[in-house]
Amino acid sequence: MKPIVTLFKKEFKEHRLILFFLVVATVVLDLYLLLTGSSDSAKPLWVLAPYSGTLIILPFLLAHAFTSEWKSDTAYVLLALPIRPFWIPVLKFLALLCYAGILFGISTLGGYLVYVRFYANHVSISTADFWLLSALFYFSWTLLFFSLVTLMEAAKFSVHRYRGLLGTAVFFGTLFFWVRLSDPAVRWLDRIGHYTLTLRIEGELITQTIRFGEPLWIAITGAVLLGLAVLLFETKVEV
Amino acid sequence: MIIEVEGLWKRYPGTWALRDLSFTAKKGRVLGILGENGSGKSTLFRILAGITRPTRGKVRIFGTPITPTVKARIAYLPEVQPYYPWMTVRELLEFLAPFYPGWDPQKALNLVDFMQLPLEKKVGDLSKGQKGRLKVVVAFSWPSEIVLMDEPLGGIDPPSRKRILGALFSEFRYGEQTILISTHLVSEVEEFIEDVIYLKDGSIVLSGHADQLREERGKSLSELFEEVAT
Amino acid sequence: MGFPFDPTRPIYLQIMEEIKKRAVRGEIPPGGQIPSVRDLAKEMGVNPNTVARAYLELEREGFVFTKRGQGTYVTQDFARIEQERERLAESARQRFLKEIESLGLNEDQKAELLRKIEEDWS
Repeated sequence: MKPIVTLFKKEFKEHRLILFFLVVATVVLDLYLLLTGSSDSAKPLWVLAPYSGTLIILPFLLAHAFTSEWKSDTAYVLLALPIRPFWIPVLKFLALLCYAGILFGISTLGGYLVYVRFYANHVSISTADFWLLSALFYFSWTLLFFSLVTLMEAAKFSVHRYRGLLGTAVFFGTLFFWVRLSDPAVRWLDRIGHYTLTLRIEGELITQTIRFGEPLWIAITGAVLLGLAVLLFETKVEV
Repeated sequence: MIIEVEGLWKRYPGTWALRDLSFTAKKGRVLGILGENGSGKSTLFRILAGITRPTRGKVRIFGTPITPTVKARIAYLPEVQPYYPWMTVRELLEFLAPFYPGWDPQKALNLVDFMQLPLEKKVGDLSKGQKGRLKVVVAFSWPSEIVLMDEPLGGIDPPSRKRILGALFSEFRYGEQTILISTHLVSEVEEFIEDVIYLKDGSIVLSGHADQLREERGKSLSELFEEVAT
Repeated sequence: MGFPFDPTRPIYLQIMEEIKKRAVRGEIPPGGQIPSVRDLAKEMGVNPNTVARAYLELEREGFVFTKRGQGTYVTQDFARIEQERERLAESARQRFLKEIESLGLNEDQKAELLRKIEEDWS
């Protein structure tokens, strides 16, 4: 157990400067918007920047977490460690998921504060619903991107030539099949349930149905992609 | 036989790095794997360390294929600098400690002292000689059963080489510990190697006990290396 | 580093010779203890396994003996050590003669050589 925890801590520590920078940038931006924004401009909407920005940046960071091991030869130590190989992608994934959790929390908090200060008169939504929607969107897409990236990296380091090409092929190949299967899959999964959201926009009561199909489909795809990545690490990945 | 390699082949795009390699290593002895750059030494070591997979053939260490349990008994010093450059020497030792049973933090510190390494300096900022010495500290901070040393002296300044060889000679637990050492600077380890394998283009061209070869051929391992390499 | 070995000859033989020479020189008295395997290995800069092999052969030849848990000792048999001294001196003589023969000296040159040696030793 201790070795696994030690490796997890290393994965977390490795990019903490970037995490720190992103946290500080988010806090500074949010404070700035809270202090200088006004309800009649769109400026406060910039609060969405950290939220969407980190959603895009973190998958790249995860990819870098893998690639840097091979580029700096640290894979020689990593793969020689007396642990089952599947821990390698799993722990990197989990460490960056923690980053995502932290950045999600701060950016959504900032967003909530901005909403309360500037837009609560126009749109009224319960706090729970606000956070629920934010989390659902953020984490389903994060998990999907992370899983895709992990599979791409696992594929890349299962070969010695044409790594970039293979990574790209995995990306587009997955996208292709995912898009093709999405509609029927989501429709089928929607049967599992839905959540009804009520909010007021400019005084009018609106109900919005959030169907579980899409997030479930994303979770399933994520699990499959991660599973394949783990399989590759156990059977093909090498220095 | 603590290491058994049978019919080992390894292919990389465009070339075969190892061709039908078969040999065994006896426990408690020092086996020299001698060969030019590109002869397949490093590939062999990577396979024995479990970080590269054979294309064909069998490798058994301690009688089994290479599993995490086996890896916990092997210390691997690759030819490259494999440690995280952002960690300090201290952080690196603390990081590796939980993975290897019997890791002795005090011993590690003593070796760091002997090797004159700055504990608080980042690994990435160390000189080439210091990096080479650090690898040896890592290898002997715990009682591994097998030590795989891939070119431990390559490209390293003479004072560092002396320190590394000094540590090697005093730390080697003869009879219990098995060392595989690869080098193309044969004269430096002439007196340390007991069994020897000469590799060329991925195959074994000569092997045997060092003293026996000396007796039979009246040549040093170094001279035999010159012969074999051409 | 360490002992100047001839890398073209088996190292364990050279270790054996060195121990014999030390005994013959009197550096190690008859019955005296020889260095432990690890100590000698460190001193000579050689693999301890090779020292162990040398000691085994010396014991087989009867030149040393091991006291369980205490160490290895040169034989107390004076005659045996004397025998070894003669053997070593004889092989040194043979090597010297062979070397001189290879120079093809005539009688006078050989006489001159002998005179010089006598001078060296007086």
